[in-house]
Amino acid sequence: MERNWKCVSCGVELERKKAVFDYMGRSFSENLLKCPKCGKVLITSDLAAGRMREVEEMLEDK
Amino acid sequence: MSFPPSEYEMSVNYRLDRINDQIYRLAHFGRYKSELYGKAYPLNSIELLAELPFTAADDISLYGQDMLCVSPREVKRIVTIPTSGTSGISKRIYFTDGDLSRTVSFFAEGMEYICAKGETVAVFMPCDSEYGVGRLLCEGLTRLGAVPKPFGAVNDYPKAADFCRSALPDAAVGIPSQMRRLSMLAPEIGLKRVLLSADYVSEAVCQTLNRYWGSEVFSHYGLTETGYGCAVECPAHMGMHIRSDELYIEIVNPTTGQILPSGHWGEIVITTLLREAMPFIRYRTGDIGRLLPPPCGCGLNVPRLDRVRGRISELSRSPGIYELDELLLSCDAVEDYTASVEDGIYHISVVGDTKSVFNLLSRKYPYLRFEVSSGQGFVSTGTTKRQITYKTSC
Repeated sequence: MERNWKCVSCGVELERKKAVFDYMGRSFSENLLKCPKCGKVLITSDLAAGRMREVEEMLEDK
Repeated sequence: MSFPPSEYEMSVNYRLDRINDQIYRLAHFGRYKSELYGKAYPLNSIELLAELPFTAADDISLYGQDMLCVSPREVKRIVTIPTSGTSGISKRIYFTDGDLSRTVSFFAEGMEYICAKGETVAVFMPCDSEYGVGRLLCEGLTRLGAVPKPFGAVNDYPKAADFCRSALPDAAVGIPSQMRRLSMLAPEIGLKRVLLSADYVSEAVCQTLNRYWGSEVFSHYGLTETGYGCAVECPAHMGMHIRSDELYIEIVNPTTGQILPSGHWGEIVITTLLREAMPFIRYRTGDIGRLLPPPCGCGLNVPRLDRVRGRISELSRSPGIYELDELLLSCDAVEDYTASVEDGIYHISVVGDTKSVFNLLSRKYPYLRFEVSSGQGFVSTGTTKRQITYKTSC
């Protein structure tokens, strides 16, 4: 079951929403926990060191 | 910081100061071997560098993030390259804005050997990604006052030929086998000068470019780890001037690791001198080369690298890809080829006349078995180098 995360700055509960990432001139999106007020997104270490790193490496051409 | 390097940038004092700075950065801002580098700092003489351990490709694959000496927000660009080591993990090389900016300066100054202000230069290096090698080269050319025309690595040869017919370049920068194939497809383009980079430069390729285009051919040697640029040939064609303000090069025996004197062939080992994001101390490139003593034929008193012989892994095979390149790419009936070995049989896939290739190979290597067929040639975006693929059947 998903934990109920709150945004430290806004004090409101995060909601699962579409987040858009821009890297190396490309955009891709993922449904992540996001603050409905300020728009900050929770990126877990699993995501950062896993899927995100995988996509980054694919784009990091010479 | 300049290219060709100044007297000061070639002095022992400059090198020692810069190497100590790089060791300090790793000891204090990185986590990779920080204790060892901390104890070694400061080196009192450049000879003591030889007492520090080598950095291998696998070290970058496994501990690359620990070599990072700046805050991640200061990283402007990361380049991921397929590993040449045994770990099977890609290498990620980090650069700051300053690191990339010095590469642009080197490209601007180094390209003065190949083109003049106002000349048009076709860039057949990867140009797709931000702060990638092709785009930095274009920036350098613009700074020099030349007109860069980016195309990217060539995989569609008729399109590249049309591009040249329309852009009318005076010179080009490209990958050796791709430039050779393009010259054979469109000899009327007749480029005055061609700079070859990103792979082994065979004599066969140089001669073909000279024959089809009448080009003066220059070599460049560089790795992503050296900030793309490392050494470039001047019009005297007596070796490549080393980017000595940025890099310190040792040549070592690939087996024992012992430093070899100038003029001896061995593995090229690189220590960065100004790198901000990711300094390298004694990085083993896996390439065979040799230093040439100054002065150069152009009159400059600069350290030079001879034309690089290629990767140790390929040179240890007979015949390896370089030997095959010299044989097959000197033949006008061959536009391109790829090679693989399976169960001791060489499979050669050729763009061109398969019969000529079979005859050439059978004559030169009567003790080997060859199967020659038609194919598409070597496809590269500039990251992969030509090599023989070894397969084992189940």
